[in-house]
Amino acid sequence: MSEPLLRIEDLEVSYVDGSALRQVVKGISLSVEKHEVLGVVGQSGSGKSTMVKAILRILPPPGVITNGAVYFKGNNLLDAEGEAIRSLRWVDLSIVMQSALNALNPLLTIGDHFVDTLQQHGTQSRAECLAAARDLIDQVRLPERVLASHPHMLSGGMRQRVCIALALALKPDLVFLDECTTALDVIVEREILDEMLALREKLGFAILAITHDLPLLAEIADRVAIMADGEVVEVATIDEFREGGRHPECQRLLSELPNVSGPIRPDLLPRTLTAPDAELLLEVRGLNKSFPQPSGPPVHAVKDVSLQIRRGETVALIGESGSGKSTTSRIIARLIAGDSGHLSLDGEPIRNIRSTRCPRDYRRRVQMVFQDPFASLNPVYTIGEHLARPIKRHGVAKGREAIRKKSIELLEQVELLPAEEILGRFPHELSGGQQQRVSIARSLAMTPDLLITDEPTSMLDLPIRMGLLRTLNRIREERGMSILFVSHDLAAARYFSDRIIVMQGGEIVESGRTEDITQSPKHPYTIRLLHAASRPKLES
Amino acid sequence: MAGSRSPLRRLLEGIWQNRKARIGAILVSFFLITALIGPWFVGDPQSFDSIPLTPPSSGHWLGTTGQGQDVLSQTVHGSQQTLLVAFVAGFGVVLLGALIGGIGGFFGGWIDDVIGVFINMFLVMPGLPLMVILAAWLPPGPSTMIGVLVATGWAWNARVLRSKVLSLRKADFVQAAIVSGEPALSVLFREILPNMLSLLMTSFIGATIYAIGAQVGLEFIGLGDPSSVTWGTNLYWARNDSALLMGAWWTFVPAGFAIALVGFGLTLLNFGIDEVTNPRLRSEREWRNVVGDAAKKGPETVVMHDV
Repeated sequence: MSEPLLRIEDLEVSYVDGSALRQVVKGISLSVEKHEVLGVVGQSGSGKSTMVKAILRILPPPGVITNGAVYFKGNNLLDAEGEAIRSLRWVDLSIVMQSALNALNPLLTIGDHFVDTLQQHGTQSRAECLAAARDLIDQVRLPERVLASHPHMLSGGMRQRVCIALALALKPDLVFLDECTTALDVIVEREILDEMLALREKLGFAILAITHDLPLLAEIADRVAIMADGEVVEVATIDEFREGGRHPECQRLLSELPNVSGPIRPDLLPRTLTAPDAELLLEVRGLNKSFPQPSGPPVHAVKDVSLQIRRGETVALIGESGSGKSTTSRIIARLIAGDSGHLSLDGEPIRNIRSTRCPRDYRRRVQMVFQDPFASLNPVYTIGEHLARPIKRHGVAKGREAIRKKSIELLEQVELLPAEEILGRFPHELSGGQQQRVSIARSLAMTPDLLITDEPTSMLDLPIRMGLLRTLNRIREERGMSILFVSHDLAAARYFSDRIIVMQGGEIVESGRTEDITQSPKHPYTIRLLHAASRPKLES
Repeated sequence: MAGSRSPLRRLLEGIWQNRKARIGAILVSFFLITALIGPWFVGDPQSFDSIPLTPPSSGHWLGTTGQGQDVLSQTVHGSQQTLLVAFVAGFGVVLLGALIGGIGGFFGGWIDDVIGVFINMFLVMPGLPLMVILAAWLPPGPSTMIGVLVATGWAWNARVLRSKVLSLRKADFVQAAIVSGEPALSVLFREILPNMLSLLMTSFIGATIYAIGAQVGLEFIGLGDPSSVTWGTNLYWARNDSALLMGAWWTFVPAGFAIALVGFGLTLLNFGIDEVTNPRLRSEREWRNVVGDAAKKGPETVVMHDV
């Protein structure tokens, strides 16, 4: 076998933690062949991003490479110093990062970005650079006028395309993709990946893609490396991977994936459907909301939305960013005021939709869990303090001991164990999934009738998402509570909800029973969403 | 586990463990203690019984002024009013800034608009001339000085604190508190304020440094109360008595040095708080030491990242 394009040998990376070294990459050996797409999967914290940063020598302090070698076309990248690495980067190796907004300089036009990049590594004039930029922009299917725009004028998908074009500017042999589509909507994600693969066919570079999205990898990768706890536990060809892999970590990752098409898997999230004639809990009629813009006409975020939630029911509100689903849910939670419309809980109407005021009882009965687990808890308070507040305020329990007992009970209910120990911890000492469970426990403290969850799993690793949904579902069944599940994840909604409401551009375009929507959608937008969410290669 | 300690206590402990902050705290404490108990150990700063402009000697460790007062005694007594005015004014600036900025940022809407206009009005007013005019126009004395410093200094703080409240107000944990039915003031004081502790503290220190500089400056140009003893008036009299022309360095160096050291100590304290609250700023030396040890213990090569 000839020398691979990139060969990593026994790479070790540590972070300085106080006065000790904490190893996060524990002796990794991997290789990437020419033209190959190698996927690296693993949960957050498995060391996959750190590995890529070490290879590109952009490891931020306090990270240090303590051992190993990385051969690229026969040269050890770890021996290179100063200027030598700089010239290697981008010419031979480039990277597309997760956050396209942060990767671009807000003060420069897109054209300036290309000029900068091209001139750093060549001696071209500005005009030549811009000509090259036009070709590149065209390759990622963006209109030429984009070159004159500033980053903030572009959508997330367009910005990510710009980043890809920039990464390809100097015709590298290897492109690293670091969770590069995680922040994008499913439909855009699908488009960008298809383009990326087409470009690879045309230009012949290799790709090392890191992600925690397994189905996505199954679509694009030739080989898959599975990382856990700083080590590569399995390297499988894509066929082996689709069959389920050999290593238990791989099998565990695959077994937790909901499928949007094909037969429903009975073991994934077993639930009984709520009777469609259950008592009406919440009703929204003719809700409207628009946001004034500093210049131009106001954005009509919610247009004449009507929906009903019955007692004990889970309703999924599905749509992409900008569809108005979050705004709708926040109006129901009385966090923002609506412009017009009616909202009633148990037949009791909210008097003024144009203010966020509401009866104290409403505040107790309608609770909300937010998207970002890392921002949902106040960093200065312990978990115990977080839970004690609502318990005290709504008089659920009185006295130190009773409150403590109640808090432990809540943590046990959301399966956070050992509960007594967790009480004394701070949010930053918990993982994202654990923090999200604390948020849920906090809202449960008030024994709500309706729990609104705004993308509760979208920032969590795929394999632990279903676990969280199972917990939510169990609690819902035990308490007879209703859930409004705001999400873009149709596959999860298929398992988690009784009914699905699809929103686009502020309007409800389709709604109905879950199986009807996922198996025989009517509206073209629903069909597009379903198509983007399906991963035929893993679901066949 | 640090479970039962308050957010403020946790921050203070972190600060004490930081070397820069500790040195700063020691320096500032030295002057605070001097101001508190120093006057008991030195003579009357206002007695004119010595020979004017004698250089430092065993009788007068720091010499005498142009009017025959003891410089050491003047410097020690001067620390009292100077530091009192500086800290009270610093505190006033932050309190007023936090109150006005916080209310604007938290309640938003028309309240914020009105407050915003008010803040901007004070920001565009040229502070230095205003300070000079106010100080000249009002009866001289420590309370006037504090009033002038707070009136000209609060607006900038209000602006900074307002934007911090504004960003924290949108945080999910604040939204969660609102959904769970917390009253507005409880959200402001329990959820938002503790997350601003380090900013409030650095603002307070920054404002104090500003207050020392401005106060001394005003007094130096004669806008303080010339009959009181402060570091600023010491400098004012040193110039008035032509100490500079006479080469009597001991009349102005002690006060100048004291001002510089207090400012230095406060600045170190500020850096320290920054480092404690933002670990990324911690000095690289700290972790390079650790890496050096690790290299000796095991792995053959230590490849440093490029900085």
